[in-house]
Amino acid sequence: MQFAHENRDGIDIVRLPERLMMADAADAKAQLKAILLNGSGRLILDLTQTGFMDSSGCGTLVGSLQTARKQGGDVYLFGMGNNVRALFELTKLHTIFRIFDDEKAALRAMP
Amino acid sequence: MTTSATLLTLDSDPTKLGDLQARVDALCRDAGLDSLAACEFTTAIIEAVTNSIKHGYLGEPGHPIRVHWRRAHDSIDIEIRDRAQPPPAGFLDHAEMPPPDAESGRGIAMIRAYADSARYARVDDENVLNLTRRL
Repeated sequence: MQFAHENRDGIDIVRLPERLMMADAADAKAQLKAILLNGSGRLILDLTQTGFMDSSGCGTLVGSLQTARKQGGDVYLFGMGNNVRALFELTKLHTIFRIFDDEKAALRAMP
Repeated sequence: MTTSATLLTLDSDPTKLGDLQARVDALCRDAGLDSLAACEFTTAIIEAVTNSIKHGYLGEPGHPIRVHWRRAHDSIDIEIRDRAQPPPAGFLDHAEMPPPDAESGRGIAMIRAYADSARYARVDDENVLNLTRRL
């Protein structure tokens, strides 16, 4: 699965798929890592389409955050639906990611 | 009182998990769980089947996993059966959620959080995991 990806003024934006789970975790992690390492380390993930995420999906996002921060960058999220938001609260991932309502707000906040 | 039962059989192939997720989520909604509750219980089931594939069958496709889905009058009861190697004793007891910056180790905690009960037994060379969610 190839993620939809664009770069806007040095900030990478990736549209995540409907599901982020074990089958795609290794590939997803590799794609996000490559985007971060080839870019500025500033990544915005669009979760608008993502209705389901399992523990492997959580691990993929945490891995990308760690890669970004090692580069002095960050990973921001937007478009999170209720199901994924509840998962983030259970796993406390909302305490380590900055989460925005929409793309414009995430872009505005990214240094 | 309405009861119904469905047997879902899948191969121990991670690429089959997406179809299982869609099917189980639809069954949970049809049984009366709201969108969030259906997603939560589906997550518990997917985590359990993922464990079977990843740790039981070591990621090797070609082995059957059976998911018995049953709607009772006040609960959804799931039984997951496989013939993989057994999990470590007491694995369901290790339900503490790891720190948020951990890349792995959340699966069992998610099962325990999203199922009202979780029981494991080894029966006739089969792993049998029962998960229940109240309606």
